[in-house]
Amino acid sequence: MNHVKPVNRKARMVERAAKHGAGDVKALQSLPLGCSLIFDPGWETDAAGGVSGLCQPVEADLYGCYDDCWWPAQVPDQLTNYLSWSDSCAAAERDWRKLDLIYPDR
Amino acid sequence: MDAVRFSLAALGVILLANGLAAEGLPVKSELVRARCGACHQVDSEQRMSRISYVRKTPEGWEETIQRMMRLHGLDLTPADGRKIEQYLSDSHGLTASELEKVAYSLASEDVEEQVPNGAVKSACTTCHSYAKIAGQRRTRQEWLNLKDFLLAMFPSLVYQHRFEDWPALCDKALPWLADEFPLETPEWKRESGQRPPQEGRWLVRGHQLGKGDYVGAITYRTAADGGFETEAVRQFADGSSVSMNGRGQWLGASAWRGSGHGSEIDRAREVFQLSADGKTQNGRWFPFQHPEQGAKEVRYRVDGSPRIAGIMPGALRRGASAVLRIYGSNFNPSLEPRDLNLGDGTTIDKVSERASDHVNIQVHVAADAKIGKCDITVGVAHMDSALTIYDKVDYIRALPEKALARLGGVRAVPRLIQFEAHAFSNGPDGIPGNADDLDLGLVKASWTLEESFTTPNDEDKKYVGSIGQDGLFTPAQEGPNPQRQRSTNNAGDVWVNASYTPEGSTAPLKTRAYLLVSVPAYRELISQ
Amino acid sequence: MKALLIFAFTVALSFAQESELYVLGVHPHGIVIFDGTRHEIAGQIQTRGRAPKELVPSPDGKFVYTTTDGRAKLEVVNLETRSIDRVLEITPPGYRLTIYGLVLNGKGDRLYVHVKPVRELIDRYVVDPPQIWSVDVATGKTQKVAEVPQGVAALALTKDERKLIAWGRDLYYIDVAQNRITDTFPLMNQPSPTAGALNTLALFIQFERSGIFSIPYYTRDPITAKDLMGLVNLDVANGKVDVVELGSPIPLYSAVVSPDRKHAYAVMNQLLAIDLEKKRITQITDLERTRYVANISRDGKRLFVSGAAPFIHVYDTATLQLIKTIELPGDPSVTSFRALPAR
Repeated sequence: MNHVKPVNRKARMVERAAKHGAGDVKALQSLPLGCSLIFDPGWETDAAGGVSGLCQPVEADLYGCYDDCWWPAQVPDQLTNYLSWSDSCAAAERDWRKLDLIYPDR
Repeated sequence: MDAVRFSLAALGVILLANGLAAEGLPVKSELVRARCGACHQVDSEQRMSRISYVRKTPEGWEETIQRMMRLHGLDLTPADGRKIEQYLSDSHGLTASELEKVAYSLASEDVEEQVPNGAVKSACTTCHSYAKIAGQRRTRQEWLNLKDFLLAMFPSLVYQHRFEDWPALCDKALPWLADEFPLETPEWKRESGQRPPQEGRWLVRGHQLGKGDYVGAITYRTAADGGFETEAVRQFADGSSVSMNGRGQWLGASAWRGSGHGSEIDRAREVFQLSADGKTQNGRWFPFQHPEQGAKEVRYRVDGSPRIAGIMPGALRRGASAVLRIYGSNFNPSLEPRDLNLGDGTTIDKVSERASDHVNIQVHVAADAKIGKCDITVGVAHMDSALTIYDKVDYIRALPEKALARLGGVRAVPRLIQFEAHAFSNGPDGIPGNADDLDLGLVKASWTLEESFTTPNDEDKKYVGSIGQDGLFTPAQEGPNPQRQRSTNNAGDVWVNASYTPEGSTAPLKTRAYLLVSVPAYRELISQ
Repeated sequence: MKALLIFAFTVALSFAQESELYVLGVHPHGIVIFDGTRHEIAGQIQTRGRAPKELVPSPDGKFVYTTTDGRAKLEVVNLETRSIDRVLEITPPGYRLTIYGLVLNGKGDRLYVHVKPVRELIDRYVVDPPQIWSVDVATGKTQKVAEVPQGVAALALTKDERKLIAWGRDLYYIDVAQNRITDTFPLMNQPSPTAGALNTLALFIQFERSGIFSIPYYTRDPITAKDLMGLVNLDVANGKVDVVELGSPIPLYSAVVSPDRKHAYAVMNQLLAIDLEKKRITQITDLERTRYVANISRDGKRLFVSGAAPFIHVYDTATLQLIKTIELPGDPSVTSFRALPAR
């Protein structure tokens, strides 16, 4: 992904923001603080607190969440912030290795 | 005419009383005015729209700057980005006592938060932490602006929150937040003049996950770039010592953000907050990509007076004889046993080593010594509840008792879990599981994973990852696994078993913790 | 050149002869035409924007309207030329729109869209109330129909075209002539304290075979404190609602009703067959992957299961046996998997 020149303005902005990586002010996240809603499967756990009720594999559901900004704290969103995130990977289950995860440090 | 004059004066009083006329922080940085001024209008008081009416943590400002770059065409060099962050953290930051309340989140501690308002809990903290909110101060209008901001930024949040009327809840939550976290606070009035510490030496006491308690010192020296260079030495109970060199800077008066490298770590990050009195720093340091590891640490400023940083080992059994080291600063170089006190049950036989920063002593504990925590004294220096006296190890606990790891290793950085087995005494009342139980510290346990039967026949144990004999759980790789039903990921839940046989005993003590291994977060927030 | 023409003619002919075609959007920017008779992909069309979401076919089956680029763009897809005819520019200057809900009138000349308008001021966003617009398909000119509460996910239009039905936290009936909500069917906002809120998410839209827009609901019964699930079945033609209670919850995304309206099939990690007359689940089978949506063949014998994971799985509705797996070029975007009208 780093070798692909972003084609649109927004993608360039994303790239700039990614490079910005200012100083030592960073990445203060270890564990999520819980997002499981009543009948939605959560991102980390299902309503029962396990993983068997989650989407399987997660790659099947990844773009559904990405497209509609379903877990904004855990998944990039296409509605506003990361329009081109999935461009390099048409099918997440097959090509998930092509996806860049968005870490504040990268 | 007089009436008009009167009402104008009254209006002025009302405006001042509401803080409207005086509110807003002037932006004195030419760089901020130049780079942000195209969109953020500057008024005659040098106040910039939006920016002047908000205060945030350094991480909060970092996140804002990145969003401006991602969505609004802001193009900054890394150097300018750092300068702007520095300025906003210095001038539009949180004070020491404000930062202290959200320090756990800034330093990536996993804690269960108490959210004091129902509407905030439901409308806000179902997606992010309360600390993300409590790390901001805003004018009423700026709090109210958040509703439209969130609806614009995340148009689908009303669907995800469909179990409640999110806009109505937001209308309840935001005015409460405006009252709770206004731009101008008593803390701001009291502490906004605070300056960051100069170079100097700090004693440290901490606990490194998987490795145990340590004491030591860190020295800050002014660097050419205006920041600081640091040099730290940490000594563990087994006598080993680890050094770390680093650099960093104060953002505002009280947020220390640094990095380091040392004999056991390639690249570490430091996140510490200074107390309002300027005397202590609380925070964590951790491997660069693994905030879930590392150490929790407190730093005490070294001034002219003697101070104790800690004692090792910190727990002694009744009837035991031992050599203890007390670490600190400005100790009298001619200390004698009579100058020290470890509580009634412990006798100091000999001072075997003396220096201004430590003292080694030989002690024995009476067979009938009182069980519990004892204060210690070295000369005029004092430390509460520093030494624990116990009779025996009654049980062990595996910590954390409930943990969430994340798969990774190919594209995702795995989120590891360092389990620790701690020995416990039932305490003075002899009853296990209550507040007077005594944590005797880390013990070397053996570790195994065991299937949890939340979902029958899913064989999670086979897939989720492995645990080392050091208690470190390393999750398996992310990605679909064709060997599992629906090609599901290596996610699952398991029990983590710990077993430990105390010295002189033949029967092992056993315990377990619950481990959920879940999927990666494909996006991690700067301030969660 | 001649060979090419013959080829084009053959393609056009075979296309015209197809009677049972379906469309769904796939990543990164395409629409797949699925042949429900041969169980194969009949074609692909590249959209201008990314990840097509909602799909609405024209009554003559020649066009499909779709939203792309994070539901911000409204594209007119020409199924005959297999290309994008045009983009309907409905976003006013200075605004950003997100579109949730798209329905076409019977003549095919008027689209109704539910939009969430955001004014992008220089230093802030101002959110306008969500609203329904009518769009003249020929000119792209828009007219506001009515404002609706936050949370509307889908739109339907009654057969007489007098009422729009907006599916949100409740069902809102909008009188198109009066430009206002004239009636509400409560889902989340139950008037009785003894009725549990019906939690639905109408993001999965495929009701054309039966005319019943069916969405699973979950509720906690206030009397027993038990969790229950069922289906909210909206008869699109007349706006009537039937709430079908089914029992203890099984996680489901969506449901599709058979053409004879006697059965429903619901999906997530499992596929459920539901007898709507007896109000009971008759069969459950594990699915190959988590799935968002299913559509059903005109004769009601085949179920086409897709959404989430790059496949269409064909199931026999009588046995719930998997008949065939068709690989898709990309992950299906939530949410529509629509049958094209017969030609």
